[in-house]
Amino acid sequence: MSLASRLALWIFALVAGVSLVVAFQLTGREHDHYVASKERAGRMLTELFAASIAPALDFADQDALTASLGMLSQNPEVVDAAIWSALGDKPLAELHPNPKRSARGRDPGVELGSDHIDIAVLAKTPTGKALGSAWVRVSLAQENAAFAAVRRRIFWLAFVLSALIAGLLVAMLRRTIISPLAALERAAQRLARGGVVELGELRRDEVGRLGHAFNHMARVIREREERIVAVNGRLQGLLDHMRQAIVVFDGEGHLATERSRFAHELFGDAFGSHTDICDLLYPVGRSPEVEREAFRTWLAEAGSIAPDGFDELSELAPREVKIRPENGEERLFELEFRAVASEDRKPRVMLLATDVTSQRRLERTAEASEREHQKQLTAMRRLLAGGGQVFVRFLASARERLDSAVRELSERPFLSTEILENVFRFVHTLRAEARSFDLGTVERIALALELELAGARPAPEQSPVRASVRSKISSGCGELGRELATAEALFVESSPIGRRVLEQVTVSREDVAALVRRYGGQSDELGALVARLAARPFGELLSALPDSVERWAVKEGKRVELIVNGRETLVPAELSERLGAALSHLLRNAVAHGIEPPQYRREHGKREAGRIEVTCRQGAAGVVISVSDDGAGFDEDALREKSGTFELGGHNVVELAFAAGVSTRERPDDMAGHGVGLGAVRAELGKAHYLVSIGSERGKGVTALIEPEPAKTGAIHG
Amino acid sequence: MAEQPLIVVIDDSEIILERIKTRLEAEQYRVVTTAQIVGAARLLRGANLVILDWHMPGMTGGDVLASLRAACEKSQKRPLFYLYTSDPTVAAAAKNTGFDGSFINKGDDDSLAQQVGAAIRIAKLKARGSGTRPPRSGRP
Repeated sequence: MSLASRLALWIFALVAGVSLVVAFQLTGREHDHYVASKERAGRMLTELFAASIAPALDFADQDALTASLGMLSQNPEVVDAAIWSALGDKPLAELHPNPKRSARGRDPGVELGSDHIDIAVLAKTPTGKALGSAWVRVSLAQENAAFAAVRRRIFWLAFVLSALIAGLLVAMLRRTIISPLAALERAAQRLARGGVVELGELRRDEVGRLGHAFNHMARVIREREERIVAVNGRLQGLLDHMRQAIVVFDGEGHLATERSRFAHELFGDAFGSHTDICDLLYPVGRSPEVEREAFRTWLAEAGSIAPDGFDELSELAPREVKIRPENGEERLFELEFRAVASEDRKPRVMLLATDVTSQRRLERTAEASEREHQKQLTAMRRLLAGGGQVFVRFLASARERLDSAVRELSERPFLSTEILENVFRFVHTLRAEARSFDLGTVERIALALELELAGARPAPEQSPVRASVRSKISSGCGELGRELATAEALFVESSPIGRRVLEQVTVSREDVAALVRRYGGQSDELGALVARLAARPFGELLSALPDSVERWAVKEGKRVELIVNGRETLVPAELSERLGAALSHLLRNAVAHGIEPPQYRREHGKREAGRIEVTCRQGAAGVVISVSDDGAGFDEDALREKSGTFELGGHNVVELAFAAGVSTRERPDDMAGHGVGLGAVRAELGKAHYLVSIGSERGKGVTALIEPEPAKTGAIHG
Repeated sequence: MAEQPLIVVIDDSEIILERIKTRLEAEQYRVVTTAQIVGAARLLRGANLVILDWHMPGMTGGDVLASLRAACEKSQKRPLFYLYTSDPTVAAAAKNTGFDGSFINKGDDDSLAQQVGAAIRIAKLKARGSGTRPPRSGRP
């Protein structure tokens, strides 16, 4: 019941009650007044009647007494009457005969009844002698009826008056208290819903002051909320800029609303369907049950642990989880759990999930790269030790057996035990061989196939298990083929002579030298064959130089990138015997004199790492080899100064570098500066009928070119 | 230094045992493997976790589990017994056949390592809950 209704009821009851009490008081008095008047009138009537019957009593005239009673009965107010003599107990005459009438009625006096008044008066002689008594009963019916009517009017008046007063009071209260309070209530509800509220038209009374206090409170709350929103915004901004999916959940795993933008991006619609952190991290049916159970167990413990014990407990939380977003690829997240303050003292946990997919991928790539590097070194060592042929044989043999296995699998409609055992033996052997050649991927695939084959052994030949394994084996063989091709490509790539390594056979150098001595000078086909047999791939001549260049660069405090082109180009035997030393010298010069220190290069707009490019190509008259760098070029002034020939200019100045004793190095060391290098190179190559020339551009670099003498024709045609 | 959890792996395939051992040892666990049921109970002393294959020669993993449990009751501490399978149906029924749980995705060693980590964590958490000190270890 509303306050207004209660007030109305109370006011009505109060006013009505008071009105009725007053009315009853007033009507009571009126009633007494009516009775007193009636009593006086009755007494007068009775006294007159007593005086009128005195003579008849004195003479005991019964008829006269009866006649007097008859006359009295004419009065409508008289309802009964009786006459006694002074001596008898029985009435001498009665208006209405009543055998039970009491003798007590002859005693003078007045007796009030509810609807009548009994009056008894003595009848006396003029001398005062009592002759008897007259008793008259006067009716109060008219007075009672009049009183009842008055009381009804008063009651209705009191009711109407009370209703009016109550209505007026309620209207007044409604206007001054109830309506403002209702407005205040509505405003409080709007405020609770987060609305902006301001009560207007406030009076200067208690309710008005309450409204002012409310407005002030609302303003303070609004300002505080704005500050909270601003702080939350800043916090959310911080969260959103973190590359972590951040969510908060309570001790029962229910997700709270705090979450970072990345969490939204990651979980997306999953937030809508999951309100539980466990379902979010370990979706039912997609995650191993044991991981769900472990997390649930941890969660139950986290929900009841004291804050100071959380750090210890967090050690038992999962560290990583794989999550597959909707329509996305699986990603790996590193998990960190932290206890956070809670308003209701219930434990809350913040989860920071860091996407480490790229990092792990990078780590794996780096590891793989490192492994590949190691493999290349191993391959190089194997090759240098003459193992290249073994690897080539392994590749050929593995391919052959793989093709045979694939053929067998495709020719039979089911995986027979015979085929299974054949393939198993092949895969098992291949795994061991792959391991000996450090081919980890081939080994892993072979192992997986072994597992499948081992699992299928007990199954009947035409069973679904065998059919499933057959399909997996076919797929695995395909993978093996691809991996063997990759291994071959890697081997060829890491070989200094490239693809030719696959065709290489081991031949004694002494035998080749003998052939050259005997047939090398011939210009016929045999001579050409011998020349080709004696020729060596350019990459083989350079095989040790990349490491040397790197070592020299480190020693000089420089960074150098060496690029070799034309590794498979065959270099004639005569030149190949001398080319290694010549190239070594040219490269050492390029590192020592040409390439500038990294800081200098950076300051002059060059890449920090200098670039040296060695190219060997088959020219019309024979192989042409160039060694070019992007270094400083020759310091022509220094060359003139060192040689003492100041009059030379242009191309001739660079020629001074071939002169004995000329070096631009201030102090000779084991790298350069002795002034004997380029001249010796020219002389040495000249013995093989090859020329060496140098072109230089200051600040751009140097190019050394080795090419056949014009008359020489030493092309090796493969 | 805290002792690493000891895991016993029972499987009829030496190849699988070799793989599991290599992978779990990379996670710093102590791993003992056996392809022989006979005498396997001896290896359970001090073990925290036993990983069993379902398809064993002549018997099921459930039979092996029953015999190991019987042998294990005499020892002081009972390890957790987990079934390792690639069959989701068998995995789902593991608890009904007496196993403490199951590891799925057989053949995926990374997944196995994650699941073993979870099982070890469950053991530690339950040990905390029961008031006994959990087995201390570094990883996982």
